[in-house]
Amino acid sequence: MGKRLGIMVAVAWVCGIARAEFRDWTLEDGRVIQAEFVALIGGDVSLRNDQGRTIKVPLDRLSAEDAGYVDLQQPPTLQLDFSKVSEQRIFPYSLSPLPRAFYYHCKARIRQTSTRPYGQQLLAEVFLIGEEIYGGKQILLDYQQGSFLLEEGSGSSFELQCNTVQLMEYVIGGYKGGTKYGGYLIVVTDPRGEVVGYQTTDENLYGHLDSLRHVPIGKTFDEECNRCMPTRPHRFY
Amino acid sequence: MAKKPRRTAKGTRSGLMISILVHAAAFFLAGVFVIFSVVDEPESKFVAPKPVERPKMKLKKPKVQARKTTRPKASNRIVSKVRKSNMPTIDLPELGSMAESIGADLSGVELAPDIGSITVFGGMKTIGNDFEGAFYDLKRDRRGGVAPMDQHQCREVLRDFVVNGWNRRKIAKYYQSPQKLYTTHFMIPPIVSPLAPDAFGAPETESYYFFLLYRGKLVYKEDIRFRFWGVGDAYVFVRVDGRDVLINCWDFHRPFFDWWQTSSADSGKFYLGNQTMHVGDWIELKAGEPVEMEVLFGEWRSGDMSAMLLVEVDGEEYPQTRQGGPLLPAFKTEDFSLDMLEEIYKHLPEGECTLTNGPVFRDF
Repeated sequence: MGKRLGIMVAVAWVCGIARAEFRDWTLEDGRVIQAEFVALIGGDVSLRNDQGRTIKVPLDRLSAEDAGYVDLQQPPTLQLDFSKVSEQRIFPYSLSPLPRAFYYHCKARIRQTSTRPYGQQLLAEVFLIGEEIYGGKQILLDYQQGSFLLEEGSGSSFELQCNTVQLMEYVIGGYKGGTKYGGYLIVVTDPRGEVVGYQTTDENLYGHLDSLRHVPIGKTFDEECNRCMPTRPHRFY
Repeated sequence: MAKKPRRTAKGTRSGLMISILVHAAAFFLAGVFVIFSVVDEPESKFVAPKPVERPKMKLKKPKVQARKTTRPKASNRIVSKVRKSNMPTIDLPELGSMAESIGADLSGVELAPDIGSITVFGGMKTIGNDFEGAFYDLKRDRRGGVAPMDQHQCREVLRDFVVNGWNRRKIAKYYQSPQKLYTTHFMIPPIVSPLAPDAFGAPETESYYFFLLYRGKLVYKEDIRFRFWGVGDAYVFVRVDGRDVLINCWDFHRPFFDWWQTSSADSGKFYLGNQTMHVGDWIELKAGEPVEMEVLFGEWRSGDMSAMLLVEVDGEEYPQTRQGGPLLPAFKTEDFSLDMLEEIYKHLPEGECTLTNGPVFRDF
């Protein structure tokens, strides 16, 4: 429930910052009016001209370009879910203690909860994050992206599967090293690159999204999501 | 004749009326009484009865015998590779975060692009001036069947192979993985031994009694006189131009690998990773003239493993490590890529060697 609320808040925030602008609207009869988009209610688009007067135009009387613009101003409400399944790796027999290792199979699911079909292509990105056991720095374990449409309205969904990753814990030279699971970030953007919704275990990841997009898979990054060197072990002597 | 009025009849009717009224009044009063009785009834309160003291029963816990599995199931996954990004590469991070403690020099770090999937054991594609490595499992025969092997036999096989001029016929009967790896360095910091068979595409291998054998050309653009300093957990053997130039191993193996002795008093003094380095014999190369070089290292009883070779050029001055030894550069035939530096740094303490300076053994 808390997560869903978080998504709604995020979407509301995103919608809030997506400010309308004055532009030319072409009506079915060829008339062009300059106005800003106000709202889409019950199939009618409310527009406000520069004199503050509001007019309502049925959506199906607007040009395709204008209808697309309305789509972008009214992004769908999304429910973003992340699931992970871990599976312990069984090492072949050994004469000595072996490391502990787990395979992680992760998947992101994006589902539309608003009713109106959305005609624009969306882009989903999933960042799977690990964490150094010894140093605490974060590691980009996997990154996946995929485009999708939500043409059927409520209930439309899209899944994005991550590559299976192995996380290992070990003790060498008296220090415990390796990598553990560290969370995720799912981001959905519209064709303009505006964020339509996101879900994360760590708000800092979303806050540094642009930097995170430049971290190569398998590499360590710092608190500002810039690639950095992994933590080096201490000498045992 | 007029009839006389009948009084009795009249009196009977009024008596009936009175009776009806009396009964009606009685019913009304009875109803009122019942309603007031319900309303006025005091609220009943629940009073818990006193707890009954019961003697506790002494129950015995059932004993269940857990059955241990005799042998874990083998896994067929290929794992722990350095993943190449499909995202744009970035510039070098800040020097402060990646510089080594002494003598840091990052020049040329980005010169060598990584090719394909790489690990500290090497990549899957050759770039020419590299060493080709093969994985041998002494517990399996060449067809993958079980081969009898124990701790003593393992050392005997290694000794027999090396003493007889690194004759591959001596190890031909053992399993060799089809996957070959190509490396431009020997900087395998202390890591868990299952990563070696993983890297060679043989994760099903029980991670003991195995070794890796690399072969390639050693060449330098100028005349050079140098020697290797190296470690090997559990062992490392280095041969250049048909001559053993360095052996290192855990102390308890030394009586078995006794045909080579270091000539340097600095051997065994300074740590690199989890072992002290041995100092190899001097090697002289003529400018542009390649010679054969082979490196063998592996694991004996499983656990951790490592193999690292550094270079000391004759006449060169080196800064000192905190241990008091020379801060030597890693042996390499190509500059380290940033990806490879990260893989090595993950497992190697600072200040024991440098990876970003020193000679690059190639003919240009």
